[in-house]
Amino acid sequence: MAIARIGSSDQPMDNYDLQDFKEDPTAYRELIPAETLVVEDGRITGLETPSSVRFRDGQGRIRPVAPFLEVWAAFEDEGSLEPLTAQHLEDLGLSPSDMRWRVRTANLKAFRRTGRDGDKVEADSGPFSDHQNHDLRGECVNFKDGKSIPFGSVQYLEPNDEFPEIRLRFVPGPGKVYGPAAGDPNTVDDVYDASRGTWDNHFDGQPGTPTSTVPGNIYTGRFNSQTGRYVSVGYLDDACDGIVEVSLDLPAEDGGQAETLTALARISSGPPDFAPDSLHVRNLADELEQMALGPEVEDVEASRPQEIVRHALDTVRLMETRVMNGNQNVGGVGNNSNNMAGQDQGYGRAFEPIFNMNVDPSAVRNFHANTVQALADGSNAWFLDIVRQFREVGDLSNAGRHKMPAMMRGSDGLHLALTRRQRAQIQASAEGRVIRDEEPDQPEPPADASPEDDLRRLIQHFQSRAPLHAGIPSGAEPLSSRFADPDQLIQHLLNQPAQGALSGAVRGQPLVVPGDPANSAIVRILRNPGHPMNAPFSRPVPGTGRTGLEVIERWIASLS
Amino acid sequence: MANNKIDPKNVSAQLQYRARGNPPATQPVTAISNCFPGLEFDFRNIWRRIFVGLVLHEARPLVVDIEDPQLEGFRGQLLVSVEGEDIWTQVSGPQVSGGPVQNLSGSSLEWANALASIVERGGNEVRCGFYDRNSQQVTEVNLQVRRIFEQEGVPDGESAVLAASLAQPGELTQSLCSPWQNDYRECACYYWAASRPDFVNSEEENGVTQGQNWLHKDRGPDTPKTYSLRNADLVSYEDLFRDWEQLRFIIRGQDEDEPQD
Repeated sequence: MAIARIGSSDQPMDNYDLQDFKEDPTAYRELIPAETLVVEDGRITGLETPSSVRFRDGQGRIRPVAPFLEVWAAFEDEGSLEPLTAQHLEDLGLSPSDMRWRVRTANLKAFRRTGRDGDKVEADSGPFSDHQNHDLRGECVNFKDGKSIPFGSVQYLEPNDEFPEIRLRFVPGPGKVYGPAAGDPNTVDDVYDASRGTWDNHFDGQPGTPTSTVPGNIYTGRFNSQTGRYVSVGYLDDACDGIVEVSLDLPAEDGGQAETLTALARISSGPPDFAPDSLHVRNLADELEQMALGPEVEDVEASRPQEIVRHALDTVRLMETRVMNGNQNVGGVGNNSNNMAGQDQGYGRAFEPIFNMNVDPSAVRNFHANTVQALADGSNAWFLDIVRQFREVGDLSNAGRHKMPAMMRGSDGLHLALTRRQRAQIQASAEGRVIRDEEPDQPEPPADASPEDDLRRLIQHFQSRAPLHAGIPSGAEPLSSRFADPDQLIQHLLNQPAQGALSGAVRGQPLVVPGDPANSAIVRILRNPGHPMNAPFSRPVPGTGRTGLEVIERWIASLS
Repeated sequence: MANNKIDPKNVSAQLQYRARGNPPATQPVTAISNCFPGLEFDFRNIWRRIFVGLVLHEARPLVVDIEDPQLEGFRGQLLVSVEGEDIWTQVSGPQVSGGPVQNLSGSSLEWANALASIVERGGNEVRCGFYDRNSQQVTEVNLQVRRIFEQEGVPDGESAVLAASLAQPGELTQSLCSPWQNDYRECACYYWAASRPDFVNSEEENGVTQGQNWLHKDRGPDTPKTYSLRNADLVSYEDLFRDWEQLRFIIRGQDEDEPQD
């Protein structure tokens, strides 16, 4: 599967790599210029590594992302797949001109709404074996005579000695808008014939048309206040998806039958990735992995939960979390409800912010960054309980909406859940079913660290758990807000009783009894194997040489 | 990369393979999969033909078309269970702030997670329950699950190519916005902030973060770091139709400073 991305420049995007920083697993990825194939006259003529990664040409036009597709083959039973080359073909008594390509793409957006075959915009390269550029001309029965939408082009690149592989390149369309009316400044061509088709007059829910998309009304239109209908103005774009097919006739061998080998690939074209150093918390690779391997895992690479949370960090870094939370008096508008807090009203749920705590973007980023760092330091996932299960997407209680990923929308319109496989991977980490290359290095503890020094390191280490304590009061603030200032958290421990649903039999008892760890509620809570902090406090706290529980006990014993 | 070899049984390696010369933006890891409806694909469409003989709506468990005449009776019915597992969920929450949690309505679950348990059952039958809204009866029937990945031409393994029988050209994008710019303004970052950014050029001072809306038009170094939702400050749909390339790439959370020729 290869994704192309539209752009009006005639210079396709160069290659680049996304490089992580091992020194700081929370830092933005670096975009590094990479080996780029130079295409001239239907063949690859060389390699170039540009000096910088540039998404626009000199005129400021966006450079399209134009993927190469390689043909792979296996040459013996149970043999490995490898790129097919001109030499392979020659060994078979064939040549590159024996490869037959055909590319079919379509834009069925109008057809999906109207249900009329005449609204299908389809391009078919027809079979070809040459190295010319083949336009993908999107044609449609309901277009005006001679009109079409260019979906881009494909080219079978002629193999040569230096680049012998069999490959095709797809260059997408420029990203223009088309419509029915001449002179419309929003469109570049009046392709649609309103006397033949109904796309320019369609409305979702129209009798005789297919069941509407979800969400509906996601076409450009005008609201007719008299009819209450949102009526399409007939706009189309030059995005598409399709199938690349390549086939090869093998001659009969040793009295056997001739055979035709076929390979397929999927292509699509869509908008650019405008934040190319960031990745989605749930992306198509996660989806395909679950489709290929199923929703369950036996164990997990240690780096995988870190990767998932890292993608969440990528996402929240570009979110105005106060707006997404449903806070009011933000953004200069009177009503801020274009968010999940607002969407939940559609089910009859009361409108209120999702979190009743500080959701300043930096606080939310720090929570995710601290989690990434803790996982990178060797912690297993401790946050399984707050990762939404796929059947919990309709839980719009306060606790349900606090689950992660928070403030985001899923494919069913409800609160986003990870793929089941992603959550199973986090669960495997939480349960210690982890594959590690090597144990992470633990820094040597300072020889003269006082009990309070170690306690402060522990508080720093558990910063990322702050949101788990949002429901526990600490004076006028939720306990979660105290984690940012170790002094405040220490004062909470010294002055507050055990609270919260998980405090169990010690609820109401002093968290800390100075000099007496055994009778301190915090110690009894942490010793309870059923408490979610039992396991994290059983592991060493970096820089102390002690487990979390030992740090707490030593600090309480030092108090008098 | 050109001389790599991949075990045909290693579908993960095939899925993650990046062809020589292709930038990361060509790969599935850069595409969103919480599709409501999506950007690069509305990937919900891949499930429409998961059961041989009928076609489902891309987003709702509704039988919208029949390909096997023997299943004609299921047209218009709702799929409610697969292998005994519900594909619906209860929606519940408080109707007033601070009030009790109540059942509000029901909703279908997204296909990708609801059907994840059967992805490895390709070629086999599973038990499906359908609800007829007229008779208010549930009927169960065995349906064959299509293979998700193409197997033709791969005798000793599996390919990483989504089967042609699951979606014809154009069907993986057919329920996206038309044109793609439609809803691009309103589809705020609760979908896809990692490729359609929302909050950029941000700075934190004394625990308070200020930044700009990605759609803030004509911004420059002197534009105040104030996030705005006011229409007058933001690019309009007309701007997006006519000149969407004015949208800025965001690197390290900041407007990219494009080098000039």
